[in-house]
Amino acid sequence: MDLDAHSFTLACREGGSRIETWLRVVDREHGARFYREAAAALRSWQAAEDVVQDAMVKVWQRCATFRGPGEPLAWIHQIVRNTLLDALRQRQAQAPREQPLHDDDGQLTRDAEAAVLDLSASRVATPEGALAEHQIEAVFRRCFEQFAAAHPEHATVLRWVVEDGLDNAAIEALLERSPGATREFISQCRKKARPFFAAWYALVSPAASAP
Amino acid sequence: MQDPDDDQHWLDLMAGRAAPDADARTRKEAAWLRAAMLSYRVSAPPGAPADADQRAGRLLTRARDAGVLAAAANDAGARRPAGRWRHALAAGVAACALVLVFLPQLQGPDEADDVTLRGAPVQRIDAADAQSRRQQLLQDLRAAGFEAQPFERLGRLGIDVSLPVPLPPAQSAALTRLGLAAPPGPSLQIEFVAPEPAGP
Repeated sequence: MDLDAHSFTLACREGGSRIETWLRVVDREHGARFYREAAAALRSWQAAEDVVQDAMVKVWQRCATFRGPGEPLAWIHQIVRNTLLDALRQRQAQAPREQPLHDDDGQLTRDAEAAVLDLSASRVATPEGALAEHQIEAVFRRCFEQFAAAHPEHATVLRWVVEDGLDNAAIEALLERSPGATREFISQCRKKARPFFAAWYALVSPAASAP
Repeated sequence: MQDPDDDQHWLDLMAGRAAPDADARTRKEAAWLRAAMLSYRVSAPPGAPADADQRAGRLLTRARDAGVLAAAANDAGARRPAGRWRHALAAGVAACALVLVFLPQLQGPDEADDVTLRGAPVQRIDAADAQSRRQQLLQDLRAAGFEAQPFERLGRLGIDVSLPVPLPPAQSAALTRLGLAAPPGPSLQIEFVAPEPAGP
C-alpha cells in the first residue's frame, strides 16, 4: 500500500475500514521508530504505546484536516511528538516538586554552584588531565537525565532540535504556540539547560563553561 | 537578561545551522552541548514494542472507545462470524434510518443545496456554483464568530472550521441555522461538490 498523500486523503474520505487499514500499515511499517522515540523520552515501553496509540486515534479523528505540505507520515510523526510532549507535561505536573538547582534567570543556587566547583576541582579531571571518555559520557548522561527529569518537555524538544535540525517553524508546529511564545520557549530551553550542564561544561573545558 | 538574537543563534547552532553572527561564547556553549548530545544519544530503555498484531488489536480498541471506529468495523480484513455480519447489517440499517430522519433538519434555511454527512467531521454540500456558495458560507460562518478557513483539495472547494470542545449551545445553534450539523470534535470540514452534469 502506498502511504502517500493521495492514498491517505482517499482513505480518510472513505473512512471505516480504509483508514483503519491505512493506519495499521503505518503502525506495522513505521510504528517501531515512533515507539522507540516515545520510549526514549518516557523511559517506558508501555507508556510509549499509550502515547503512540493516542496519537494514532487523533490522526483518525483529524485526518480530514490534513493539508500538507509534505507527506502524511511527517504529519503523523508531528502528531505523535505533540502527544508525547503533552504526556511529558502531564507527567511533570504530577511529579513531586523538587528544589530547583537554579533561579528564574538560570543562575545556579549557591549549593549547586558549590557542587559544581567541587566536582570540577576534585572528583573529575580536566580534558588536559586525559579524562577517560567513559567518564565524560557518564557525567554528561547524568546531567541530561537530571535536566530531562526536571524539564522533560524542554529536554525532549532540545534533543529533537539537535538530532533532526528543527527550526523555529517546526518547533512552533510541535508546540502549537505563536512565534513569540516559541522564541520564549527556546530561550527557556537554553536557560533551563545551563545549570544542569554546568558540571559537564566545567568538566570538558573551562573555556566551554556557559556564561 | 539574554539577548533574544543570541538565543536564536544558539538554537541555530544546536540544530547544526550556520550562525555567522553568533559570539564566541555562544558558539562554544552550543558546540560542546550539540556534540555531546549527538555522541551520547538518549536511547530507548531495554525491551521492544509489543508484537504488531497485539498493538493493532489495542489500537482498534482505543479507536472504538474514542468513538472513531464503529464496533462492527473493528475486524476488517479478518474472517467474521456470521453473527457479526448480522450486527453490521443491523447497524447499517439503523444508520440509514437515522439519516432519513435527520436529513431534513440539515437543509440550509434558504438553500436548496443537499447536505450529506460523510465520515465524522466532513459535511458535503452539493452546490451548482461551489465557489460562490463557499464564499457565502465562509462569510456567514465568520460573521457568526467561527474561525473558518477556505481550502481546495483534489479539485474540491471546502472550508475548515475550528470549534471549541465542548461546543457552546449558541455556536451549536448557529451551525444549525447555517444548515450544518455540530460535530463532536474540535473541527468541522465542509466540502462543496458540483452536481454531476446532465448527459447529452
